[in-house]
Amino acid sequence: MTTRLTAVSKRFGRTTALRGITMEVDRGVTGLLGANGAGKTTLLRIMATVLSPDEGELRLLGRNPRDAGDRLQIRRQLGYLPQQTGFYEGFTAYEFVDYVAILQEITGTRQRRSEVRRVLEAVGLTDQMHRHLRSMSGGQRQRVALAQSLLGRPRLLLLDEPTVGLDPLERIRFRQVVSELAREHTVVLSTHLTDDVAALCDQVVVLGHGEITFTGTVADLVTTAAGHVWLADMPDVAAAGWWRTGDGRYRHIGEPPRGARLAPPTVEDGYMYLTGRGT
Amino acid sequence: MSWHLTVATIDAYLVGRVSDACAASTETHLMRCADCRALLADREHQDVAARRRHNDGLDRILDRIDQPRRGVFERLLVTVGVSASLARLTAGAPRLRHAWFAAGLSVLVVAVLLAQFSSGPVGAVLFVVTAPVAPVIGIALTYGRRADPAGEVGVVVPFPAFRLLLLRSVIVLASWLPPAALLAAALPDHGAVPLLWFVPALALTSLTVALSGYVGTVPAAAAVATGWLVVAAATVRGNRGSPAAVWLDHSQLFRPAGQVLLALLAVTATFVAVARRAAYDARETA
Repeated sequence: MTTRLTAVSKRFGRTTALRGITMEVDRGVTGLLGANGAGKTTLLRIMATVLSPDEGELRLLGRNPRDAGDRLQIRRQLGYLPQQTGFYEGFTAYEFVDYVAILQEITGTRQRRSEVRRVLEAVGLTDQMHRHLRSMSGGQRQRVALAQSLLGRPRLLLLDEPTVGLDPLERIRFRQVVSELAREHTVVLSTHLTDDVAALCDQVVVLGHGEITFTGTVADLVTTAAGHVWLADMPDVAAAGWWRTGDGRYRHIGEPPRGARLAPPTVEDGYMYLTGRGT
Repeated sequence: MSWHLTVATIDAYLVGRVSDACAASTETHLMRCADCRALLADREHQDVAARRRHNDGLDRILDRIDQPRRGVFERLLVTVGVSASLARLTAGAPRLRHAWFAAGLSVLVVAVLLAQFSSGPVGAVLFVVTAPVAPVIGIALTYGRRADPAGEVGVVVPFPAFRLLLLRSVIVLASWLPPAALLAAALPDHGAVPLLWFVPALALTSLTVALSGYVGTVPAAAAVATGWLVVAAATVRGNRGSPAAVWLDHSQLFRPAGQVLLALLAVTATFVAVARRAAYDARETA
């Protein structure tokens, strides 16, 4: 296993952000699903060596981030897209990625420039590389942020809400880039979009109030809602989770309304059933 | 084997410019003929080398085209011998740097003008007391890790945080000293007064760098700057009619013994910072 957390906890003052997290991630894409405030970002920041856990054991790429030498080795093989990149807007896209490449210690000017061009091309920004970040749209800036995380083909890529602000085409391109990297490396992405999980992830970890409430494959997550998703002609207003679908019927999660028929569940149904919103 | 593949056929096969039938017969022949396999390997090797040369050439051209124009400050650093990558790191946030530089400079210019045109010693005293604080504020505002142009990404990179902070502190100090020295020369007071800010500036800067390893750059700079101003305000005093040298001489900070102690503080703080350099990477940001 490349990366393992054992009974990891983190508190900020009186608030417990994470409690007893035990999980392993390996090659492929692992999705972190959870509501806002569930602890996804804290977990990713711990895995990115931004924060250290208050309790528990952490091994990243087989190394211990508490040890200064190990931490350096981890950071050399780490790609990180924080939730808010907050970059300096006076930079152009090229300058920003070049700046991070220098901090990534990509030595040799030509090697660095060629790597900067490669990652900007990977996110489809070759034509825009000399535009200032302040004049770019939210989606374009998100792609610049993503580009920097791909520098040096990291063995561990951590992405916090990577598809926020991307249009459908940009999201498909993002999935191509990430799935390509995940063939050989470990990618962990946090999201509240079940679409991303369904399209990309091998493994899913669901977080709720700082604890893991589910871990398994995407198919396992879908299966949790099997037998609990119903289609009816009329809404059951007593049910907590229902909505009108495009074909005019009403989808319910939980108890069957009168005259309803079972429907095959989706990732979203699995997630909603699990988090108890649909019951 | 009575016949062999020609070089032209092998080259065409390598780049996929042969018909399916021709490719099939080429492959059948290659399976049986060691000579032609060797020739294929040789041509492939040359092909790869040629492609690498071509790509290198292309990279060089793209380097020329893609290289963004450097800012004035970055070019200046490169001209004086700083490597291009270090110049980019240190000149990373020019707009922020200009802001603090302009703010600090205007305070000192006002002090010098006061010294020139008022009859009292207020301007010269103000200058000597505030000049050491300017680089400390500069470091905190522009080059604290939280103010890094890469945001949180800048925290988890392998480049040593201490080296980055030190580099930027040196740049701030180096860009600050010449204008401060010129302004000091314009003070009407003679003797030692125009020189008294220099050692404190070094001491406060080193102290900020050293404390950053414990509490972060911004709190360290705030504590150092506030501490300095409070102590100076409490100890510097004099009569309206007395010259600046007399005002400053009331404070131990500006007497020879105090200046020597401040110089020792600068050296000690630098040693502490260097000895604890690994701690700068370990500090959490939240």
